[in-house]
Amino acid sequence: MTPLFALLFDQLDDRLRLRRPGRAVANKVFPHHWSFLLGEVALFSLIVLVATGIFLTLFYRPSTEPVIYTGSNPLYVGTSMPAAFESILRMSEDVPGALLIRRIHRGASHLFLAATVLHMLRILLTGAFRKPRELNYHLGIVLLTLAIAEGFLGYSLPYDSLAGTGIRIAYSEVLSFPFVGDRLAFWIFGGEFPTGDVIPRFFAFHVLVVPGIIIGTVSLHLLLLVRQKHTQFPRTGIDGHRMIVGKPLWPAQFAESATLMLWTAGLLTLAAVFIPWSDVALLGPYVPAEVGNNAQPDWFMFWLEGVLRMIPALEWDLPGLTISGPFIAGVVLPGLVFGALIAYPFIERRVYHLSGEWHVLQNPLDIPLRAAYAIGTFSFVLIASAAATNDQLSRLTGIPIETATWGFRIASMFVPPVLAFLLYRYSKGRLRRRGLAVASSEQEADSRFHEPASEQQPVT
Amino acid sequence: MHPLPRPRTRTPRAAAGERSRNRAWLGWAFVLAGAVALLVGRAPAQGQELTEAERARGETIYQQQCLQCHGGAGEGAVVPQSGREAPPVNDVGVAYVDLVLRTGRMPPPGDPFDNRARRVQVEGEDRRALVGWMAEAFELEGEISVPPEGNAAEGLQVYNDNCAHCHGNTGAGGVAGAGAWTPALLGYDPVTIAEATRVGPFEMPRFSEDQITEQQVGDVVAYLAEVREHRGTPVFGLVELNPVYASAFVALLAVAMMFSIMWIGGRPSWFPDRTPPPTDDPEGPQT
Repeated sequence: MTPLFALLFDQLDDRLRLRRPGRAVANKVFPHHWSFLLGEVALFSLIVLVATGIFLTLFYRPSTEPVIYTGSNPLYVGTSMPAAFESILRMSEDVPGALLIRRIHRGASHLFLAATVLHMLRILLTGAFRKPRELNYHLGIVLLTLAIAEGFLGYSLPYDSLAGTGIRIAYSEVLSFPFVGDRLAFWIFGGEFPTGDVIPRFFAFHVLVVPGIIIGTVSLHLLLLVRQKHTQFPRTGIDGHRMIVGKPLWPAQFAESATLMLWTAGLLTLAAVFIPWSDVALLGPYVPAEVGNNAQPDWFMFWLEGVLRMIPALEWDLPGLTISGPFIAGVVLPGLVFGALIAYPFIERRVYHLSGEWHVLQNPLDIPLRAAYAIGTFSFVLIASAAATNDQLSRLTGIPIETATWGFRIASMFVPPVLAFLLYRYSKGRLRRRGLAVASSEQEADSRFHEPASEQQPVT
Repeated sequence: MHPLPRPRTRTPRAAAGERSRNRAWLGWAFVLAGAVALLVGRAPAQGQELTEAERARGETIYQQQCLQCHGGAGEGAVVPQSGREAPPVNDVGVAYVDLVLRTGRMPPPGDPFDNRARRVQVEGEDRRALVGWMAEAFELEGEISVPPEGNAAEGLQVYNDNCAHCHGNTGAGGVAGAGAWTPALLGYDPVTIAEATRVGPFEMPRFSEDQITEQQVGDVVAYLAEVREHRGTPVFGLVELNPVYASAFVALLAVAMMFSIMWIGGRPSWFPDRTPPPTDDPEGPQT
């Protein structure tokens, strides 16, 4: 400690009594593995998002009132456009640095979601969600949902041609709810789309409500992490069930995380210079009822858009309610995917009669159900995401779009179950060849790791 | 080739009255430009400027590249290779003939209905000679008109109202179903855009002057020129990204992020402990 820092710390400690809790925090143990940094990247992206977002709030105008553009973009001078789009143009052309900040904001939103999804995959595959960490896993799912919603709101705010089309689709999705659809849509959007209420409401949710909940949930997520401690990969000679091996928060992990924070911010800034994430000046403002042929959502909505593109024009008129294709595609199927994510920890525990607490990570191939579930779900999500790009793929490959859509329909129905089945068979066979069944307690799994395979007695 | 019209830039001005006065002035300029363009554009169709040499050149090109499928008198025939019917070309407009040559649909190196990027085979003087000769020989009607110089701001609105449904935002191209693609519009010269608007080739609807005026065609051309000349990012020169292409860059960003954390997190330790390394957790997870 430098003398100055020591002096400051002493002064504070005299008043706040920091030494004892400070030491506990500084000695918090962080297992050493790169995949544990995925969540940190998401956290740092969130910090970048908040910082850049505050800057953007200073210049953005949450309104669709028509205004005359007087900025310096020759494409629009003297024309009338929604105030929201006008403020975005002004930021891009006339506010120094705002285009860069806006691009960093968009790039950080992409990185936030990408890191969140990869972090979730790590948790899911290695089994970090098992008892006692189910609650934190569910908080993570809440965070993923909020992040997707926040991303969609942010995509909508510029009110360019693509954004308006996205809002229109969201409006139609809400309309498709049986019984309450029309009332719900009117309540959320303030009347029949397009309304002047949409952008002000989306703005309030994008900058206030959703980020507030996200930051609160992230804090709880981290608090639970500290309380319950990290999971860790198995290591020879270490009883991972009783002891965590890693480096302390101060100074080793702090140095690593601070490096990563700076690195993430640098990567995002570099990407913002090279990649025009958010430029909308050529697209033009949203004109109701006009849709561009190549309209697409952001990548994290591709799987929802893909299911919408794949679903046939269904409609069942039952007495008193109508079930339509968009409802199944946009509400029921995503509900199933998220429902499966939420229920999975309990299913696994029940199916394999798992007992006790689990603190050591596992190879997903050691639990056939988990391997099958993960590959089934994520191959479906990937195929659905690819289906959202069917027009671009059709142009690139020369396959007619109808053929491509039918290909995706068939693939999304058959590939995930087949992959899941094959991986289930493979991982079960892999266990059987070693004469094992799925370990039902951590002690059992741990003992396997520490004994060489040749000494194990096959169970006959 | 016709030079691309520069987008008209206007400076911000406060008074609405001044704006409308300037608009009126612009209007007259457009009318004048349109009249000039009309006079210039009329000439090749009537064949007055066609010299004997050009006439012979046009005939030769027709015999070499068109006659096999479209017949000696342009009456149409069966394509020997595929057995498909080639349509007659003696009852179409001059603009139609000119358009299929300018867009590279004819003579076809492949499927003439494939609208994605095509290689133009007959261009420049060759095309002028061929179109002129065909107009004379088959008594084709119509003219090749050069669109007037336009205003990109107006063009953006006209484009998004009339063209973006099929050709995509910013002229990126799109899909039209049943194996048809709408071409990307950024590679075409103004005359091509104007001809296609009026002719409505293949699946494209024909737009009359009641729907899109000559001036509006010029505006769209100006908008597309503005899109083409848009300044991109400093290194890759990327302009606005379609979300699909943006997603590819997100994948790149994610890969860069993975390598970063593997490098940062893969190091043994930044502050190796001098004391024995395992840091016991006194409270430890409970069994």
